[in-house]
Amino acid sequence: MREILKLIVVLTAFCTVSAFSLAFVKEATKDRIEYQKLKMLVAPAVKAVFPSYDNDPIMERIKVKLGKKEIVTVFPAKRGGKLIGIGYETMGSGHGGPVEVMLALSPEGKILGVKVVKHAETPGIGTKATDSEEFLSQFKGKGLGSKIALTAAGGEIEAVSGATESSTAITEAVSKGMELFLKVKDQIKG
Amino acid sequence: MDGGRFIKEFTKGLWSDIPPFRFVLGLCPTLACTTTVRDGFGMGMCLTFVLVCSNILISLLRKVIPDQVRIACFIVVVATFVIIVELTTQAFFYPLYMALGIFIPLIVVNCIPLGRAEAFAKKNPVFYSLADGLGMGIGYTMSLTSLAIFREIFGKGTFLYHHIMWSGFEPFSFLQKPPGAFVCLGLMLGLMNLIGGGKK
Repeated sequence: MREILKLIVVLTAFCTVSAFSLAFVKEATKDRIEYQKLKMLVAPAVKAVFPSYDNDPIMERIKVKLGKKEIVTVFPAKRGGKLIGIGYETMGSGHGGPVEVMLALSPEGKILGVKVVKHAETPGIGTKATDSEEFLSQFKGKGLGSKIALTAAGGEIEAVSGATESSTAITEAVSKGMELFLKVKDQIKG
Repeated sequence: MDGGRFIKEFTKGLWSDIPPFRFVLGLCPTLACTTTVRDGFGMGMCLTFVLVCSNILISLLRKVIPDQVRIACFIVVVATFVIIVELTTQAFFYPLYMALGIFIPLIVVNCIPLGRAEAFAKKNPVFYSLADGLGMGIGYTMSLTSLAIFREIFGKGTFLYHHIMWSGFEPFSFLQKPPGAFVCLGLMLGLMNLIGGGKK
C-alpha cells in the first residue's frame, strides 16, 4: 500500500511540475510565435497585395471584434503615416478544404489586391486558379457596389476553366470579405 | 569529482559510442532531417538540448524516482524538454521549425534521450551525466551535420543554401531522397569501421 502511494505521489509531482513549466513557456513564447507565423505565412501575401507602404503591417496588426466571437486580424498599410489600405484574411471552401485569401482594400472599399495565402487544392488543377495572376487581378478595382460572383452565377468574374471549384472558393472568400468591410472599417476608425 | 572521467564520458559520445553510427539509434531524424546542413545541425542542437537537460534532471532525481515507474518519469521529463524546444524553435527559428516539422515532437520517442536516461543518468552523478549528455548530443550533431554536408553538396549543389558547385553541375537528386540517406549512412558507417577498426 505504502509503495503504491509513493509511486502515485512521485508521478503526480512529475506531471504537475511539467505542466506548470510548460504553461509558463507557452505563455512566454505565445506572442512571438504568433508574430513569426504571421511574418512567414502572411507577410508575403501582404507584400503582394499592397502597392507600396512604409510601415510594418504585421507589427501594427489590429484585432477587430465582430459580433460575439468572431475576431478578424486586420493589417493596416500606411505611407507617411497615412492609412492607404487595410488587409485581412477571409475564407472560402475549396475542393481540398478551406482556401484562405488575403484581401486588400483601400480605405474607400475598393479592392487593391487579392492573394491566396493557404490552400489545399489539387496541384496542377485547383492551383491553376490559386496561382493565376490573371484570375486574381479580375478582383482589382471592384468596390462595395460590385457584384462579386462568377459569370455563371451572374457576376463579372471569369472562372479559370478546369478549376471552377477553386475559382468559386476564392470568389466566395472575396465576397464574404467585402461584407465585413464596413464593420471592420467602423472599428478601425474608432 | 574526477576530471579525467568527465572527459572520458564526454568523448565517448564523439567517437567510440557516437549515437547514429555505433548504436544505430535515432535513425528516423538522421534520415529525414539531413537534406540540408541547416536542418541537420538544427536537429542535432535540439536533441543535444533535450539530452543534456533530461540527463541532468534525471540524474538529480535518480534517488527519488521509484524503479517501477522510472520509464514513465523519464518520458515525462523528456517530453517536457521536447515541448520547450518545440516552442522556442517556433518562436525564434521559425523556418527551421517549419523544415523539421514533426521530427521535433518525435524526439520524445527517439531512443537516445530515453536510452541515455536508462543506461547512464539513472546510475551516475550529475556531473558525469552532463558530460554524457553533452558528448552524445554533440556526437549526434556532428553525425547529422556531416551526413547533411555530403547530401546537400552532392544532392543539391549548395552549402547552407549557397550554390557552390560549378555551373554545369547536375545534382544527384537521389541523395536528397530517403534511400539516398540510407546509402550515405551505410557508406559513412563503413568508413568509420575502416578507420576505427570497428567492433568485432
